[in-house]
Amino acid sequence: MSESRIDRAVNGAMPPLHELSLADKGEETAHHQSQAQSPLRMISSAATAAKDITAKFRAAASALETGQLVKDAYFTLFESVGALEIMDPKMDSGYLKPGEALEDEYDVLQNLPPEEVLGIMDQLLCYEMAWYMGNPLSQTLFTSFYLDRMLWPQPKSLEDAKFDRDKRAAPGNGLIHVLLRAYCVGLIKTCDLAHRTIGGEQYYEEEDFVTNLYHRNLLTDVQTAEVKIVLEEAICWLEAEFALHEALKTALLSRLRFRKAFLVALDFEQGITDAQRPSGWEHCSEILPTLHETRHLGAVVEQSFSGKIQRRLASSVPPRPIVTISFDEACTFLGRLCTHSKEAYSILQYDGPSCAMNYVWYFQARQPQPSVYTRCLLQSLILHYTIVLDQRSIKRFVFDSLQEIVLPGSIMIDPANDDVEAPQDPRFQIVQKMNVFISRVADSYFEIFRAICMNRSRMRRMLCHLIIEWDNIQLEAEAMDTDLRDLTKEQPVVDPKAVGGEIWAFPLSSWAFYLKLQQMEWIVHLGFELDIYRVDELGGMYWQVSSASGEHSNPASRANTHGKREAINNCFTWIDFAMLQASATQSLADGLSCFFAFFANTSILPAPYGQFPYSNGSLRYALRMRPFLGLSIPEVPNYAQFAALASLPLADVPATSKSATKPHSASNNPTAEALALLDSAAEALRNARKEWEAISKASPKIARTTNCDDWWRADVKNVLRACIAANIAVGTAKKAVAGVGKGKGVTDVLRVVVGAEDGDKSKGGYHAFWVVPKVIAL
Amino acid sequence: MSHLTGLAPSDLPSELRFLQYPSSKESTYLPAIRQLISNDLSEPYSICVYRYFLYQWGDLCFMALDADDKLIGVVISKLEAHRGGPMRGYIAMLAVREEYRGKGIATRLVRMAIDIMIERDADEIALETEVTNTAAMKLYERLGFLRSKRLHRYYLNGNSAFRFVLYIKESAATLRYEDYDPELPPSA
Ligand SMILES: CC(C)(COP(=O)(O)OP(=O)(O)OC[C@H]1O[C@@H](n2cnc3c(N)ncnc32)[C@H](O)[C@@H]1OP(=O)(O)O)[C@@H](O)C(=O)NCCC(=O)NCCS
Repeated sequence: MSESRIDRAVNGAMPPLHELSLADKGEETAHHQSQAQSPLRMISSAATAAKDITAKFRAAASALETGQLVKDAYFTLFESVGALEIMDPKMDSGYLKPGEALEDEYDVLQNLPPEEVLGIMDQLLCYEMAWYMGNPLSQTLFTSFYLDRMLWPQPKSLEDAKFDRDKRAAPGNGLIHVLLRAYCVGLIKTCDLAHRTIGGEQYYEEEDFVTNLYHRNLLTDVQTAEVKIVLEEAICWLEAEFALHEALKTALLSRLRFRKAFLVALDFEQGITDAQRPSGWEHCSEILPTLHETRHLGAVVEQSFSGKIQRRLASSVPPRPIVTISFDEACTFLGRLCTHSKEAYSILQYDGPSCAMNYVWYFQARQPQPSVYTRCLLQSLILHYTIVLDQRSIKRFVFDSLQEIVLPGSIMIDPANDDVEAPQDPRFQIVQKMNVFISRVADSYFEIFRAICMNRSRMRRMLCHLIIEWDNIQLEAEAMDTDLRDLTKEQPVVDPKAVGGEIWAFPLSSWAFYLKLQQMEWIVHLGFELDIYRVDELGGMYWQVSSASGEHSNPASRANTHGKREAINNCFTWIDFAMLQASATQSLADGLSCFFAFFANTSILPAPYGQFPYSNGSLRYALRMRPFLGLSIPEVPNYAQFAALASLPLADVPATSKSATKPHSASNNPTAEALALLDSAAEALRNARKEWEAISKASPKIARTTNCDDWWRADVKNVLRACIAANIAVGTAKKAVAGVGKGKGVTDVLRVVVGAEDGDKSKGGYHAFWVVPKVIAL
Repeated sequence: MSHLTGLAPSDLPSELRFLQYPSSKESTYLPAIRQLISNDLSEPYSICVYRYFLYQWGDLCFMALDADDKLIGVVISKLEAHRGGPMRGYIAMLAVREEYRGKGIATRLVRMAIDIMIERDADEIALETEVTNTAAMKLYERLGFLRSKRLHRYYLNGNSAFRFVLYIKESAATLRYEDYDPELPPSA
């Protein structure tokens, strides 16, 4: 702030004194009255001693050149962006146009017909949903005169939360003082509950949600039960109100009932995992259609909302427009919020950590993505204090994961170990070591769950950080594995072909490796979904997916075989499945990688294989691989190796002698190598289809999707559709290429369209992770 | 090469002059710069933001002027060690008057800024643009920039952005991986 005032002085546009001194007073006095007013009029508080600094200020400012910036080292770009210019209507929330009133007038105590009360309720619901969508209260709910009157000055009790804040009996009818008040009280308390649920978990301020309450209190100290009573009383009052038109009465009743249901659904005072909560959400979903059907009965009361209320909320923020969404939009959003929140509770049907992780992944993969409230609710269900999924300890949960992936029935995770008290007993020592391991990995393990609860962009960014941590964990776990061998009496598998002639299980590090590879795959997959990769990068990125899924078979195949029979059987069927999944992913990625490499080598797709003024293939590759460059394994090949492995022409050198100006030149006959790529693509895609078909037949138990099977199956179906489409596209390409020759180049016989390229992803996009090029024979 | 890197200078409207921002002439140019840039923003930046850049990196600001010295296009940028790591150039603002778009003016301005950054030892150059800004994305991609991440609801209007990055030196890749947060808390 201070900087902007100096700027104005330097400009020679000295603001009137009252503005200079007022700005320091902050919030309540941010009304910049017109210049005709006495400069010191507003300064009345006993604690403020006003002092005229005009002369001093002018003297100091006159020593500066125009354009000169006086700043200390702490004045960063961030501060400069936060600065406001006083008297600029777009930045100064206190600025008034000539003749403009400081505040809009609205009498919250006036009698209103029922239609208008209904209209106000519906408008409030729109703003409430706009808030859940991530907009600040100042641009949504807090533009309501009714809420403003109720919340400021801060009500000391529930009784105090009303429109007639002074004790005098106020005019206004029951529709206002009973119905609308109950609705508003319910609304505010619900916001309080949502605000606390979101605030207690990880989300990103401003991009997901804005927590600012502008010094208001959302009835935090009032019990939900008390608010429920207010709503119930209002419902009774309305039911006894015979004078009302029946349709209007139904509409108003449904709104109050919805308020109550919504409040109950969000209430976590009985415990976040309370078994009643899913039915609470279901109840909301049941009432919602009535709200929607009766929406036309309401009449809008525009004047009961005003953007000017913002002035009293925060003086240091420029005035921003009210965020308006339609009632239809609000209902759709709310409907999803209710459904998703109810569904979130299915994660509590415990069937092991892999299943829980699958649940979160597929819960989140739906479009549109569940909103921030639901994502935070899901986080609370996964880990609440130290309780995992409402029933397990952190240690037990991580042990379950080890058991599923690498240690079926092993002595290392046997719960009976905890009963051994003799320090010399190996079991006792195993417990000690495993406890160290758990305390090392627990946070990072739950961080994976947390990461996949974020919005899609953040998910990718968080995973990019997290894999570095998992790389470290893997290395440390390797040392622990070696350390534990004596205690577990592990016998290596003798294999003359192996280094040193024997193979050790390395269970802990294999587990870490498995999880790390999973994250790597997600990072690349999300890159496709978020449109991070350009068309010319797709081939290389699918090669990357293929190479990561190729690694996957390593840790899984090292599963320990010294455990209990049944546990091993479970683990093995799952390992078979995991291997199949890795192989299917690899086949599809290989197929697409070869397919795109064919296009690159024949310059069919506009490729950047010319010279960039400031860049080259190697630098671009380094940037693309940046998330993985810091990993110790798998090692990232250098650019030349990568280009060879992915069969891509080196980007420093034009792909053909033709310049990239005319990639569609007629004379580019495919070389034998390029044609071989097409054959490899065809073969890999044939396998991919077979393998994904096999996957689609797996039982929920084997696929570890018992509580999210529908979502998972739908996802696999989409992958299969992508496989089929890719097979057809390769077939078309092969047939078309056969027509090359006799004066026809490859671009004369076929044309390629990539979904993202023509701007519409849904067209031809079967699955967000699998971009299938469309091939058109000419 | 002109097809890749924007139009050759000779294709640019010949009456245009391209020049580095002269700090001594703030009162001549700054109002026009602000005007041009705020045309495309829902909420203007305060004069502090402009001075923050122009006072410290005025030499990384380039303008296109027509024969009457009217401002047609501008780029504003900075260059500094990023969190003690790489020397990072950052393109903060870029705009060309609507009637003059599509003639390679922005490309030329950006290239002038990049050339100076390279002279001054930049390791990498970054910027953000709205995911729907086809013209800007095309411009930067042709210069060799790649999308490095997507920023969810980055702008005040709720739209998302792409971060674009261009590595200038191999060393940029080996410098510690950091998830740098947005540079210019955005307006648009
Ligand atoms: C972005 C902007 C600066 C580009 O200015 P310009 O002088 O027209 O840019 P150039 O002519 O150098 O290059 C732009 C390229 O995008 C192309 N382009 C322009 N509008 C396009 C559109 N709507 N869709 C697709 N491509 C478009 C141009 O054709 C040109 O590519 P080409 O040379 O291959 O034809 C200008 O559009 C602008 O001022 N926009 C508003 C402000 C803004 O968005 N700033 C960027 C913030 S990061």
